[in-house]
Amino acid sequence: MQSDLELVKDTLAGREQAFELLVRRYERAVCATALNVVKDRHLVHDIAQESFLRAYRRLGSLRKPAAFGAWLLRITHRCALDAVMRRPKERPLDVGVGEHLESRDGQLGEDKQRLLAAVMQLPAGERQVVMLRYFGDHTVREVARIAGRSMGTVTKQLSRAHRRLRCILEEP
Amino acid sequence: MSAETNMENRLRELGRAIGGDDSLSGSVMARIHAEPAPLAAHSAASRIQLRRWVANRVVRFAAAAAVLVAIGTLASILGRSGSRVYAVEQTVKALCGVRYMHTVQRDQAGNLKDERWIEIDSNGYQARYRQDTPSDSFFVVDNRKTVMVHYASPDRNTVVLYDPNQQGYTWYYNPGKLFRELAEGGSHYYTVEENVQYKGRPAHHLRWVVGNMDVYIDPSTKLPLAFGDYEISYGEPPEGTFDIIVPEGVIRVDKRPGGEPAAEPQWMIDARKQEELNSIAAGHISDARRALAAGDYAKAIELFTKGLEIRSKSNWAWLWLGKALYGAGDYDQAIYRLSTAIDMITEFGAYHLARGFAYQAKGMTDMARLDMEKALPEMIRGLRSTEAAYPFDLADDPLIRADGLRGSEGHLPPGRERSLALMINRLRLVTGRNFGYDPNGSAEENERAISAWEQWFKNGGRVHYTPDARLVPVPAPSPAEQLSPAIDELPWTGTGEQALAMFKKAREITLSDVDAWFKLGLTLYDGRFYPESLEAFRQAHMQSEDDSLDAFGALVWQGHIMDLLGRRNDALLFYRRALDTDAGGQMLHDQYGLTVDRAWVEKRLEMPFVRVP
Repeated sequence: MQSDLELVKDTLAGREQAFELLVRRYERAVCATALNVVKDRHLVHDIAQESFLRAYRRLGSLRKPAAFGAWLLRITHRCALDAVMRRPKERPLDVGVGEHLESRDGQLGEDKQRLLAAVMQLPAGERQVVMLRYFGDHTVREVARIAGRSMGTVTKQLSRAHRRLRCILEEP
Repeated sequence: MSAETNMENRLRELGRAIGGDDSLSGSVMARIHAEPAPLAAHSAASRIQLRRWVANRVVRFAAAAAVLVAIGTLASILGRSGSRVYAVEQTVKALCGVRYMHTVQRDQAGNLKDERWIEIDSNGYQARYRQDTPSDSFFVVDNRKTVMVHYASPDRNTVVLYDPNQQGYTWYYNPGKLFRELAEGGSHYYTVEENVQYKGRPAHHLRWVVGNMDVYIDPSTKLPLAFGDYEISYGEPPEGTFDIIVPEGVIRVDKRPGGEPAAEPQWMIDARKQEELNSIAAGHISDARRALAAGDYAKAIELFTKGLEIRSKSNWAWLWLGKALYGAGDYDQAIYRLSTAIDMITEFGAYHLARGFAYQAKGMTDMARLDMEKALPEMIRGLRSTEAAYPFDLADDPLIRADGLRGSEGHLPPGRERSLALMINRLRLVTGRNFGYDPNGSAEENERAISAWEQWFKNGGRVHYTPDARLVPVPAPSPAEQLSPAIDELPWTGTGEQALAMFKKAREITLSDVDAWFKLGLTLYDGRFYPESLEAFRQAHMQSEDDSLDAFGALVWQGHIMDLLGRRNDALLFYRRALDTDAGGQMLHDQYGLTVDRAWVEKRLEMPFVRVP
């Protein structure tokens, strides 16, 4: 499995397939980031597309290619905020948890939305490994390879993230 | 189910609920095919342009990184609003001049829910604090003198006086820190809507997206008017706000050093007893783990049983009790206890494997096979995943350090090669298969062996218990694996000679273990090896996560050592960094009766650290 750094370099060298691998690697993380802001899954696909495109266009300006994941998620956040700003006024940003996210129509329920919001409050490094591990379904070894960190660091970050999530969610 | 596993499962469920979007990569790539942009060619030009813009427009920020993000923030705000009315930096600046904050929270009917006064000292930290939560509790904190907690509910009705080093309280929200982070973090953390109304007053509305909170800013003072449902004002408090006065008719308990002895109410006695019992249980379980690791099954059974009588929810203790019973040959009881552990955590293959061996020993081969079949997928996964192998390693070695069991005791998990050899041996026992793995063999050969195991399993490979399977030699623990437990066994106090020898060894092998470095730092301090202690805490800080309690503690202790070395200015720098890092936790040093937390550090800004007698 290639690291983000290698895939970014390959993309910059003109190999588009490398970027496709990055898209597949981060699609769930990107969707999750967007969903946390817009709370509306109908908007998520467009925001995700826009985020990847912006990232592709700006890839050359990425100062630390190894930090692609965190950078991409920041772009996604901004894209999602832009989408919110473009919304009609009657759909305010601070839409209440669960209002548009009833599980009966296959969307996130209140608990999941809370958990997602908590994930978004994690420090960037922990958030990235949590998303890759649980949303992207990568093994710890793969996450370490992708993010260019040691397995020990990733394991520790996951463990700390769990503690932090319980703390944010005010669970014992 | 443990909190850890529960959280993992919830995160996985969340991932599944968010789901993938099969069409996404296709649609992104289709658009990218139509993109003409030669990506790399843009980079240099855009960076140069940005630098020039930075130099021209914003020069007051020192750090280049901060400049870049601040520019992003301002640009985004200006772009959206079309004016220069409000920028987050203005609030950062305004908050620097604040001395008092008054926060009020009301319920929907307008009744007071919570009221706080905060006095901020010249360093920007909380000096005094008062919190009224009607019908529940009431705190007055004077960080230099006393902390008073009034448990006001009718069934408690007690005032407790503490020394600020024993107990501290701060307001959860720290506006100064928050706004600084918003300014540094950039506009994707918030949105701004200017010139709105807040309860009939003109305001700017700042939406802190990540914190899911609305903040309203006073347009003239640039100070926050409200944080969520906390309304904030900045006037001087009424006289006596921070006075510590014990009301009439309450039970008074003075816990300050030298405080007047008083009988504690029953609820405090009960709470303390429960805490003591939990501590005793943790001690029993800890000693039982050591006994089990040493093969003293009788002692392990006795101690695990005692611990579980108090703390019955420790799934690992049930597991190890089962293993101790298995070791002692009591297979019936082993199966019974292991079943209790499995009932608590059904998905741990390691638990099923342990019970499978117990069934096998009892001659119940069908049951054994069923359990081993359940363990098999995780065992195969453990050939590549350290995380999957970890529960098996922990089950077999109760002295491996495990979050949530008890503090930082124990040693590091086995390194990858050791863990792999251990898993290969488990698989050989359970399946009778041998795919040629050799710990001394080449990476290519071993990769082929692992792939062969995976292929075998994929093709429907099944359990075949083979007690006489040929096992591979397990590599010796790495120097780090050997050193960590030795450091863990060091006494907390003493001359420090032993710690010094281990410190030298740890440096030689560049040990990567925050807990071990922290313990070295403390034991070297105790032995008065200050420069070495300083280095140990420096290592602990370098290897700890930002904003973690480890990082906070390591910084504070570097400050302590600097004070002891007579380098007060350096000490102050460390204390200030610690306060910026503070994640709100407490570090307890029982050997000195010392609690290191925010209040303690604030006190160190005024008074240097002196050795704890």
